[in-house]
Amino acid sequence: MLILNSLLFATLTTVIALTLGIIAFIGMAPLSAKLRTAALILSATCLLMPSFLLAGSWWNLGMKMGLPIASLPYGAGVLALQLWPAITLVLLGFVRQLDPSLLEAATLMLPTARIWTSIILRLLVPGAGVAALLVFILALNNFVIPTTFQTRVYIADVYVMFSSLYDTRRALLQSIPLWIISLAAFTWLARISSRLETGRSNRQSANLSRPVVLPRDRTHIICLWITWMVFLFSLLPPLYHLLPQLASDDTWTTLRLALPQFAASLVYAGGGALLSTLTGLTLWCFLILKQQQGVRYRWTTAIQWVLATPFILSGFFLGILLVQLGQWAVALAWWQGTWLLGVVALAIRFTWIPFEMANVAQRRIHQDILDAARLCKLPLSLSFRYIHWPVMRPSLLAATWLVFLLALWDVETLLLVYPPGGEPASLKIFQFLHYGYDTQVAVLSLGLLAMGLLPGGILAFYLRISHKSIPLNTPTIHGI
Amino acid sequence: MIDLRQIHKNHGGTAALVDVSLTVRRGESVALLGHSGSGKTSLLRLVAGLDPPDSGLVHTEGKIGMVFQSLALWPHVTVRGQLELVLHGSRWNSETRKKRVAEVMQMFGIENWADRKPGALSGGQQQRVALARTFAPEPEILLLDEPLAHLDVNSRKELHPQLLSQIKERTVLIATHDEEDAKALAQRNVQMREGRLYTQP
Repeated sequence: MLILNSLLFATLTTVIALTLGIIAFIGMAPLSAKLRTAALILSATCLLMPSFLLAGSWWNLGMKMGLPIASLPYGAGVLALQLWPAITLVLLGFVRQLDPSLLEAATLMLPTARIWTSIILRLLVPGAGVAALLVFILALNNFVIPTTFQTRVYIADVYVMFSSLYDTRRALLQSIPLWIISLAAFTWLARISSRLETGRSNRQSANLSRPVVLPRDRTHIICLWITWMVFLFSLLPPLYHLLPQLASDDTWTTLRLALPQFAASLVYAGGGALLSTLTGLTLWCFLILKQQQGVRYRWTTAIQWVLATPFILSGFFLGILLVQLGQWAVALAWWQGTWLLGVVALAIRFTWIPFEMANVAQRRIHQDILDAARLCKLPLSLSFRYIHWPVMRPSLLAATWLVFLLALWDVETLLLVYPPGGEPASLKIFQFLHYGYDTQVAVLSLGLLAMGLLPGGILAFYLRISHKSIPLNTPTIHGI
Repeated sequence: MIDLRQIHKNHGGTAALVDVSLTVRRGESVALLGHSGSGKTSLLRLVAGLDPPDSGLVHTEGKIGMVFQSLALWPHVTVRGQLELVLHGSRWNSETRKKRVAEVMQMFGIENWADRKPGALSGGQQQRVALARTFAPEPEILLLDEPLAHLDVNSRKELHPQLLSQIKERTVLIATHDEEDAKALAQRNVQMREGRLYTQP
């Protein structure tokens, strides 16, 4: 029964997020560069908004307005308000890879509405599928939001059971249904994606400068208005909840008291993000080496499956497994109670993200380009530096930031593995949220929000001082 | 030299090459003539060692250079960088390599675009860079897949003598659908149809 509840919650969240995400995509995609950048910043801010803050603010708002807050649809709606930009951002990323001439030809021959329904949206099905799967898995494994809105879900029940009985075997057995569901969704998506045309251009060997221009009509205007409304719903309640805290003296005291938790969050999220990116990168170096021997796809698929498993399963089970591993293997016992365990747990959970983003970037390299390097026997160091790295670098930077954010908000993975005195801010917020300490939740969320924006700020500063723009500049070689 | 014996190759259940046997002697240039999809590129990739045959023997003697139909220029590397990269593993010292880069750039008239990346070049300019990159390390065997396809008629005719002087005394296999190019560049033509080879009189 609880499994059904979990499935219903994840499915409803995905459907709402997918609908909002597609509407926002239709509204935003044909905008001028400046307006689109503004909309993208707003979307990224929605995604950055800590789910705790969103939950707290919508809880208060719902109470005041007499809405049915203790219900599954309400919780799903709130989580969807945080996750919809993931769909839009993925779709906007996919559309940039479309062949510009494909749309130019269609513009000459078809009415605008037909271009959208028959060509653009159809070509974007794989992209929407990937994004929807991501949202589904995040919603299925989330227990902060459903618990806040008093919806019983499977994963929360397993946690409560484990906390009271400490029965590892039972908890791991209980993970099997969630694993099967996620794996089935993953396999299904991989199958349909492989059958669909993506309309991607070989942008690697073609002229890179021509942008993809999308046509606009009345539907686009309507979607744009809906998008601004969604922005208001996603941003106003948490900001309304947050801003008064800035004026309060208690805020700064609370923030000061929470410094150890912020430091812990920085260690876990920063360490986890760096370790997962480095692992993803190392695996890719290995694959590039194998690729030169002509065995690319077999190895890529095998590694994809190994990395996807901990990602699609709740981090809570990974925590149980790692703790148990320390108890089974004496040699690994030393890491119990160290911060390293948390960093490693997050890296295991999220390495799939940098690896997969690098994989998508890699697929943009035309096979002939790789063959040309093979034929002139370019050593791995040079082919990596001049062919693979320039393509992977923007994706890996984005992946590192994404993992950093996910790790910053993470409760499930760290719940069982953080050492005494090493409690991260996200867990502290979760406890405050549970006991209704609203002000503290808002203040700590503000701190996490600032930390989440930090890497973006550093990147913007780096780009400003080096006069570079995204996609990051690519190396030129002289005098090798 | 290039020696192919009873080569068979399938791509996803479709026969790309059927019982292909061909010998190209040292210093000889042979043109593979045929329509799109006749198996020319598959044959060149096999000779280059990029794809293995399903059955049959491929024997080559000497360093291989190839011009790809898609040109396959490395998008993030400047024109000069493309040439420097292919010479990186050569036996020449740094000074000789620099001289060779300058010489090849002049030979193909690309010295004015030396610091540009492929994305900033026209199709014809990219074609010249691809040719220069292939010739730079002085390969003994040349595989040219539609080597002049991106050029207009005048530029083609302009490049014919330059190419001829470069391929002289090299073992060359040219895949083309253009009989003019085949006549100008090759000593012998063979026809390809549906993966089979037909020797022309």
